[in-house]
This record gives sequence, C-alpha cells and structure tokens, in this order.
Amino acid sequence: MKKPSVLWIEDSARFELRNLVGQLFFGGKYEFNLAEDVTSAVNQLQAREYDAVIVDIRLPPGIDAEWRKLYQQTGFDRVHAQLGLKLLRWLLTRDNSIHPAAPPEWIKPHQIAVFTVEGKGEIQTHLDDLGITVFRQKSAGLRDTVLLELIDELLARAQTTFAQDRAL
Amino acid sequence: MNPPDLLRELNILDLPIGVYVVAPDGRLLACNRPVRALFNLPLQGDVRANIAQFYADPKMRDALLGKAAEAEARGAHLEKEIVAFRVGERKIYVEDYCKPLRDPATREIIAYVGCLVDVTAEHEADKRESKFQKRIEELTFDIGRILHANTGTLLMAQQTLDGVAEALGQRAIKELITVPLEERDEQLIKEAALLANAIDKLAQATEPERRCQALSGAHWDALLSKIAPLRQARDLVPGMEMRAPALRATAHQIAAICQEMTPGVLARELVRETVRAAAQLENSSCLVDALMTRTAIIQMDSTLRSLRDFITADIRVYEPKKKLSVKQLTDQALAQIAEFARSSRVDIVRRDRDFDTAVEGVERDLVRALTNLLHNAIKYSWRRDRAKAPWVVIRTYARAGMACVEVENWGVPIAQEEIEQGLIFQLGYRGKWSKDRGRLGTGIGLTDAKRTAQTHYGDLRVASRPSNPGWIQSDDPTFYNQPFVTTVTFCIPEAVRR
Repeated sequence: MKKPSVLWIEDSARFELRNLVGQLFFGGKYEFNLAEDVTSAVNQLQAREYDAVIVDIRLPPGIDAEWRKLYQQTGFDRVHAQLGLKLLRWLLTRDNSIHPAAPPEWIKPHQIAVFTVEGKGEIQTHLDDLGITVFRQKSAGLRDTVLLELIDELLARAQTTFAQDRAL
Repeated sequence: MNPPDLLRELNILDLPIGVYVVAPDGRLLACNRPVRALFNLPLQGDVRANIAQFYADPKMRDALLGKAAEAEARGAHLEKEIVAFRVGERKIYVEDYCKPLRDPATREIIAYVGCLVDVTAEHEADKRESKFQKRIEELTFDIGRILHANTGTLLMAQQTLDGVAEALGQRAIKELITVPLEERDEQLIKEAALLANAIDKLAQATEPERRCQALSGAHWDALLSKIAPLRQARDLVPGMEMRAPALRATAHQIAAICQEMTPGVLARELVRETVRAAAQLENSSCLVDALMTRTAIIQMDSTLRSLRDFITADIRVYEPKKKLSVKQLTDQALAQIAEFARSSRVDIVRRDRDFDTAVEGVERDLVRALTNLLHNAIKYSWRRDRAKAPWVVIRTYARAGMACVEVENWGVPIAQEEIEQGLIFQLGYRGKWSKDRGRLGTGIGLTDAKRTAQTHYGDLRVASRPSNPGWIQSDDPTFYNQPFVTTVTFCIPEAVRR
C-alpha cells in the first residue's frame, strides 16, 4: 500500500524542532519531506501531490525573487511578513497578486494543518477564511510526538472529507 | 482707575494672555476676555465671580498667596507657578504670574494683579510623557530582571547538559567539545549500520517459528523494518542535525522491543549484541543531541547577555570615559566570547598580537560592542577545511589617528543592498541570510556596535564579498549560497598622547 505523503514547511525543523522529526524519518509510516523556506515549499508542491501539508506561519522566502520581494515589502522579517499565511492564501484562493505563478491545482484546505508559534486567536480569521481547521500552537512542553499526532489528525480529517465528498 | 475702566483698558489692549485683578478675598475685580473665556464667564459685563471657586484644590490659593508675599519680600513677583483650576467638569492648568497691589498710604494689600497663560495641553503632554517614561523605566527594569533570571536558567541548563554529556561520553566536557560534530555524525552512521547488522543476524540465525516464541509478529515486523533505514541513515535523513534525534528514537524503540523478548529462546550472544548496539547508538545520539543543544544554549546565553546589556544601558549609573588599552579591550571581549567560540567549535585567530594603542571611552560599552562583533562572526562562520575548525580572524591596528579592530569571518553572506541601504544597522533587523542553519539572533549586535562607535566619535564599516569572486555571477539565484568573507571594522579615535 502506498504510504501517505507528508510535507512539513518549517524553517526550524533542522535545529530547534529536530526532535519532532526524528521518528518520522525512520518510522516508515509516511513518506516525509521537509521544505525550509517558501520557494522550496512551492517547488515541492508543484512537483507532486501530498496527502498532508503542515505549514509554519513565520517563514523565510528562499531564493524566488517574487517571494523575496513580498518578504521585503512586508517588513523584512519573518514575524511581520507572515509569509506562511501568504503562501496559504496564494495556494487556496489562487490570488495572483501574491505571486504571479499559478498554484498547484490539487491542494485543498482539508489537506493543510497550521503549526506555528502564533496563538489561534491571532490567525483565526485567516484560518476561517481559508477553511483550514487543523491547527496546533508551538510552545514549550510539547511532546515529541506532536508532529506525528498532527499528521494523523490531518490525514484522518482528509479521509473523512474525502468520504463525505464521495457520498455527495 | 476703577475696575470697569480697568477692564475696558485691558480689553482694548487685546492682550494674547489673560490679565486679572482680584480682591484679597478672591473676588474678580477685573479681567480681560482670555480670562473670561478660560473660566467660562460672560465675555462682557460684570464678572461676578470669585477665583477661589475655581481652584482644583481649595488650599492651593492660600499657598499661592503665601508664595506671592515671599516673592514680594525678595523684591520679585510670583512667576510661572502652575495652578490647577476646575471649570465645570474640565481641569485646566495655567501658568500664573502675580504680585500684590498695596494701598500707598496704609501698605495694606488691596488686590492682586497678574497674568494667566493656559498651559493645559502642554501640561497634559508632559504628564503623559512622564508617565510613559516611568513605565519604560519600569519595563526596562523588568526586562533586565527577566533576562537576568533567564541567564541563570540557561546556566543551569548548560551545566546539566555538561553533566549529561560527560556521563554519556565518559570524558570531560572540554574534551568532548573538541571533536567536530561531523566526526560524531560519521560515528553515528557506523553505529546505526552495526545495529542493523545485529538485528539482521538475530533474525537470520533463528527459525521463523522459534522467533515467534520470543517476540510477537508485530514486534518482529517493527524490528525488521528498521534494518534498511538504519543502513541508509545518511541518505534517509537530510542533515546531520536531524540524524541524531532520528537515530536516538529508533535505537530506543529497538531497545524497548528487545526488552520484550522471552528469555532463553534466541541465541543469547546475538540478543546481547543487538541490545548493546541499540544502547550504544542511543547513547551516542543522545550525546550528539546534548552537545548540539548545549551549543544552542550558550549561543542564546550570549545573545541574552548582549540584549540585557543593551536594554539596560540607559538606566545604569553613568560611567565616565577613561583612557583604555585597545589590547585589553580586545582581550576582555575575547574572554567573554571564549565559551561560545569553544562550544561552536570556532577558533579565534588573532593577528598583530603585540599591537596596542590607547582610546578614550566607556569600557563596558566598548567591550560589549567588540563582543557583539565577535559573536556575529562566530555565529555566521562556516567550516572551510575538513581538517580544521572554522576560524574568525581579529586584527587590531592604528590608521590616520584611528584605532581599529577588524573582525573577519568566512561563511554567511550579507547582501550588498543590506549594507548600502544601512539595513543591517537598523535595530532588530536580521540579515536575509542570517537565519541559515538555524542561527539565533536579535538584530541588535551591529546596531549597538555602530552606535557605540559613533558615540566614541568613530564608526563601524562592514564589507561582505564572495570568497571566490567570479565563480558565481551576482544575478544567479545561488549567488548568496556561496561562502562570503565578511569584514567588520570598528574604529574610534586614538587617545591624544600627552
């Protein structure tokens, strides 16, 4: 059986959050990929479909000129730029004022979870607008299984949505 | 002149400030339009009001008259006295200039004459500013205290990690941190392969039926599923930073499964070999993880110290400038950064060791500025030689009356436009490429160093160029992926020799 494919878009995965990913690589449960900036995330999303995509809100732009321009225009730092939200808006609303390229067709809100330091209240309106329901806040004291649990939750929801869509 | 005449004269003069005459009991004998407007009185006709009714604090009038009498005794008059009045619901503030009028014959006080200037807006603004100032001072103090407390916590965490690392590595921490992480990573990959071989051997050496007597089928599936990933650890996990926790978790799971084995079913030596290999891998990967976290903590500690020093700079007792030796300042900065350099495995190469000159300045600020520059250089250094640790070069020299400390590193670039537009000197600004490899930073270091140089009548210069110019063109998207040589030069005037 094909393993579910997961993309985590997170610039702190390699250092601060490295303990969360350890089990994913060797667990053999998922086909796991990591993107550490928006450009490489977009490249990976354009290249293939994923069953689950987990997105951080404070992301660096990477080398793509348009994302870099956007990053510079919105304060030149990850906190103010909130490039993760812009990426989500571009992906889900196909807003080409964010980036002129066309986003991949396959991505839907039920395939996306947000995992960030922002409190839910701070970005709730955006999440509601985009139809994203799976959210987890990063904070000290998180278990090292939090990412696994988040992926499982997202995949379960995606499956339910898929079943509901088929029933309709 | 009687009051109505006086009133007329005052209004004819159309003065821009309020002018009044009051009786000793407070009755307003005469006042011009600005005073009437101030107290919401009819702009024409008799005044029929007593100034005492407007005082926000009724005791204030007696105090004010007392001050006016004292001023008169000195041959002066009351000046710029701030008085609070209440007019309806509104509180107003005026500057009062006042003196008594005496009967020439009896020397009795028959009235007070004076001017009022409405300063409500200015007074409110001053009050707000002073409230904010107080709040900022409290906040600064709190931030300083919190950062101080966090520094203590970080020290505790670092020392705990030292203990953990020494227990795992069976060596003193100062020896453990000399081994490059790349070497430890290679060791982990070897140990992962050994564990894979041990599991493989254990499985191969036992008949399937017998195997199931020792462990459940699910456990065997779990064990066997680890063989291939353990052998492919290098390719499977991108980056050595994530390899250690991944291997640690896997080794731990294998060790836990081994504990479930029914004793006496499988070859004892092979079980022991598997358990030993799993324990060794878990031990080594924990050690690597502990050492990496220790480095991050020391880096954070250094950042917090610098942040605390910067934030509390304005509320510290004023430190006068004095004559200081550049060599000693550099030595102090190097001593402060030594632990961070060691834990980051970056060597400091000092040129012009014998050079020295004197500067005039605030010792604490200068040491902090130099420490910040060294901190950045260490943090943003890449390894350029497999046989050698990364290194940062520090040079000191004097040129055209300026004493200069130059810090050079090889690694993370600073974009040309960031230097040209002065972005890197903006408070809180983090360089575009400064977040590579998870580097922590506050965006204060260069701002503070430049400010310190300037308050000492000097300046800070930054240059960043590709290590191999011409290899990659500047319009290539990968231009900033190559190593850059970044030189930061801190110059302040040499002290005048006497």
